[in-house]
Amino acid sequence: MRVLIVDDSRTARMMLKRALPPALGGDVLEAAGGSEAIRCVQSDHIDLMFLDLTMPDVDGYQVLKTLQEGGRTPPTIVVSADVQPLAQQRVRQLGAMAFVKKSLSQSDLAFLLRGAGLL
Amino acid sequence: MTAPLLAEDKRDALQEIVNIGMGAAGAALAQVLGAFVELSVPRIDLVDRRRAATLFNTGSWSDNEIEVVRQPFFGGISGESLMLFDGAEPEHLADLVGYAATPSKEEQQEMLLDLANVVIGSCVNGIVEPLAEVVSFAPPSRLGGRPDAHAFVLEDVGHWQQALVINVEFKLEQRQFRCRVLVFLSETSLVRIDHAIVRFLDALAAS
Repeated sequence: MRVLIVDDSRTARMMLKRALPPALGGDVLEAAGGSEAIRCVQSDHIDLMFLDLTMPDVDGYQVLKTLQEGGRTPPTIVVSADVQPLAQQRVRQLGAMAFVKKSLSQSDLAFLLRGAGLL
Repeated sequence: MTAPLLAEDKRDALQEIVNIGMGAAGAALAQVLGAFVELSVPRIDLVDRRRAATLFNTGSWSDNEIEVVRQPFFGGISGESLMLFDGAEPEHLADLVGYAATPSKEEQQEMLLDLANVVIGSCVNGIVEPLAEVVSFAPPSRLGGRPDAHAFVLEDVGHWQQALVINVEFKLEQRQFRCRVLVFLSETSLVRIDHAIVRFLDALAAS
């Protein structure tokens, strides 16, 4: 399974990578911004994307919107500190399958992935 | 004295911690106002004292009057927080907070102090808690407009030449409301933050 982690923070990408269950940690791509994430999804087959919302170039909403318009949204889990209910509602409308609050633990992530049938 | 610069990896970690803190603050503000809050990506800048005035350049809302509220915090990490409110059309805010449509001057000020207390508390706690630090807050108080805030930063925020300043802007979608939070981290706190980030990164590497 190929996983894409999208976050402008290297620390955040590292934290998420470490929280991934071993079964998902073998093939992980990273994108440091929204534009890079869109290019990556358009050129690679991505099985699961973790997406930050607040990023300086193209934000997570725009990434979802662009991918939705192109019909290429991979299974996406939004990982954000912006936990406003409306933010959660919007990302779901834009095609995300789940929304989790930063920083999530290994056990929480495993629980979420199991629930989504990805583990 | 010149503030120590954080190395790139530590700065990236601090940026992520700040992002999380500001996300929490945005959520707190959204809850109080019952509206969707848009957050800018927080900036962390080493600001030279001679350029302190630029902190109060408010871009697209620069022609408007601003109202500034301050709230210092103390503890292992200490500093000063300023919250800048776009002073235009306070009735937009009053409506959201549940005050009368045309609030009195006293009501407006009380409203700004209450909002600053919520947002600054969330911002600062969101930054210090991941670093296993605890801070206490003084009550928020009104500073005045742009010149008052500039004078305050130059004269009262310690004897600094350079300071690490966290800067984030919040605005409401489809509403005339914008605000900015500036968090000044003292030079002595930077040493402690540096050590706390080392512990944070070590714990991360060991996980």
